[in-house]
Amino acid sequence: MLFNSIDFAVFLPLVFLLYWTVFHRTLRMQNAFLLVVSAIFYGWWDPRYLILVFISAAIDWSVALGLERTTDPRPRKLLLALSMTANLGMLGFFKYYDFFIINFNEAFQFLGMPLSLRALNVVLPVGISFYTFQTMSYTIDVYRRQIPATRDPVAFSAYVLFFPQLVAGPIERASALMPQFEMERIFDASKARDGLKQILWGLFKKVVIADSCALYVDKVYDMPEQMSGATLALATILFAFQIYGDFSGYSDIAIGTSRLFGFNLMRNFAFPYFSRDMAEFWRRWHISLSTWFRDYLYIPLGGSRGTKLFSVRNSIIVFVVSGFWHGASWNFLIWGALNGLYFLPLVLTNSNRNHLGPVAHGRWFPDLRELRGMLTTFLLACMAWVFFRARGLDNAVSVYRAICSESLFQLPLSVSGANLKVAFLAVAVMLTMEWVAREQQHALQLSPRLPAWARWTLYYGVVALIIVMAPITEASFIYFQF
Amino acid sequence: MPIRFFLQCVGWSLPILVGLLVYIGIHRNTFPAPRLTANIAVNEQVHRLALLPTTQVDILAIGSSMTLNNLATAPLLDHFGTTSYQNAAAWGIGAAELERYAPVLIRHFRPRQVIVVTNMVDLQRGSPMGAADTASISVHLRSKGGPSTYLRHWNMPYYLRQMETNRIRFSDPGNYEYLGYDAHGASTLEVPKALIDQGRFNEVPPRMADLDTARIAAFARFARYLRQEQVELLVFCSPYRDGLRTSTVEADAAAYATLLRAIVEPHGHRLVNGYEMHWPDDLFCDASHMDHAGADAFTRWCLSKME
Repeated sequence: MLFNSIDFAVFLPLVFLLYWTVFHRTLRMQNAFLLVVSAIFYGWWDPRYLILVFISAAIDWSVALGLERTTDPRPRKLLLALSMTANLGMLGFFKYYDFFIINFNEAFQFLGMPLSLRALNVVLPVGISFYTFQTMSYTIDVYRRQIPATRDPVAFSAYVLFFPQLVAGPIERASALMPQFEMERIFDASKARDGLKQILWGLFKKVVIADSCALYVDKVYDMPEQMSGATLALATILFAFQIYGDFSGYSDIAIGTSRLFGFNLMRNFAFPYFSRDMAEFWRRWHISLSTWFRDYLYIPLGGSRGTKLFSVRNSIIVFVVSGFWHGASWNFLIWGALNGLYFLPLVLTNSNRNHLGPVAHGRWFPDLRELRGMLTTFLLACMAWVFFRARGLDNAVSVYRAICSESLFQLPLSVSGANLKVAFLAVAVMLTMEWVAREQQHALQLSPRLPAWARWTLYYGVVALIIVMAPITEASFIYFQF
Repeated sequence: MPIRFFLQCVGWSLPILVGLLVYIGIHRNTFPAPRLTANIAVNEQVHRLALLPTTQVDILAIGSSMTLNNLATAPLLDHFGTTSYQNAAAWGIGAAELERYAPVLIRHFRPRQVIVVTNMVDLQRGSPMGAADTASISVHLRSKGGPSTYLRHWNMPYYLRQMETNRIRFSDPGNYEYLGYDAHGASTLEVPKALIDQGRFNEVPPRMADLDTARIAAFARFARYLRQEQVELLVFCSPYRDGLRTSTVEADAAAYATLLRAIVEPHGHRLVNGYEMHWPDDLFCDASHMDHAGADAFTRWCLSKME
């Protein structure tokens, strides 16, 4: 079920009412109800793939119980290995099997020893990269004795399948979310109101920003060979806003929806395009994944302990693996590696933690240095987005070739069906609102000093923009494919 | 507490709902037809047909914009002496779409005769129509245009945007997308000479080699289907304006008429070739779409050739 669909517009109020009026009496009822509605939400897409989610949940629930029962390190390691093998095996089969088969075939062909291993063309189950990482985080935390194993299979399954964040995150850490499933939720009106505002802002970013930009980006990137450098550069900039609006919009809706049910999910985006360097960008972009890799890969690899070279190696590994997490293609690997390269000078000069606070703190506008840093970071991100968006390496190379040619200085082409004015206006509205709210959790967390009429005008204005500017077709979320 | 919050939410959304209802109320005459297919003209035409009080039509015109714009109603009514005539044409209904669209209408209206005005473009391209589209059309016709179809095909941004566009589309015959139907479903154009789009006016007709063999086969199946249903087909080949009729165009037009004749006549259907007559440029709004006077003259001439 898509958050931007009529189905969800009916589903959400219905589930909300039943949850707080019928199934609110006991914790068990609350969890059981959330489990059922989450299964319906996921099964709306294809109920067969629910089996995979339940298998993943069953394995990790049982493994965690086993981990708690024994103190002997050997069986504990074996149990952990079992969980990792099952989860990564499932992910590997559905997401990476065909990639490796195709590349093996090509490599052996190149070496003059043709192989004809068959690709399976299996459908990638929606959200598999997200829920496998979430269940793995639970098992690892239990293994590290950071959290106790839960004995309640319903609470655990509800934690794995929790519908707001099941298919595209935020990837929650068990230590933060699991306890919320073990504690009865009590309705909090102010939390629900804030959740509603965050849903509204998420919808704006998805429906107005991402979908408007997509109309231009999709057509241009469909045939980059025929486009000028200026057109491709513009499409890449618009893609930067498309992917931000799409993914952060989804995260906002997920977080806001969770708040309606009494849950707090972690923040996933913190206005990343206001970052002053790439290190800050990665602290603000897809935070739940970056911190997952930090906690479960970077630190176990040794983190920043040891020599500079060691630290650089670990950073590069994390970025490459993170790129590969996004998809089984060389483009994503290169995208990850490129971001790792951006990060290198900052690690080597010990300046990767220069910008920890919000930009232009206590001021209306950034100073020139901050502005230069933000623009440079945005341009670097855009250069990497080319690999993320292009369909294959050839396609990406065509884009770079055109951007580096003299056609960069022509006027960008307009594309039928894409209204650039609407896209620019939408992006300008979003950037202005987010700049004003850059020290808040989301752009509609308006200052209480703002008069009520102004706040309500903004809320209704955002609703009006969603209604007026929404594209006619319901577009899926980009991160569903990961 | 949660109930109160829910009611508050309903209260907050009331101004939006009221605003939308007022807006729709003011512009209710341009509210679009249910979004049955991706083709706006098909949706509008089907909705109009669904709202008709009758399901019995003696003569049914079906086809693309050639049938919609170039087939005038008055000469037909004069000729056949019947008011039981409907024009169900819409842009984008080329030969392949005709094969899918026509059976739904024929089952619903049970006509004796079907008229198709066509040109070479209909055998070259069209606006794709799938099984889901024809199923939606059929359901909507059976429901007599009931409002439940809007719920099945709910898409608020689409309806709001079409409402805006329909303000011109429904009222201005000078607009090439004009859909201001007469009582029988025709929609003849009247583009002021100064506003004629020169790109469209000078558009060169397709060549015979550009025609799609799959579409030709679809048209043949359509002709056969009508014979099986004991419905007579009258095909009027619509010409391009005189200014574009070079010797190459004439040769292709003759080959095209021969091709269609070979398809329809074995089934006992009839064909009138508009290229047998010369049509001055001032009867056209573009290369092939006639204005009201052109459509009137063309329809009268075709009907006279049938006698």
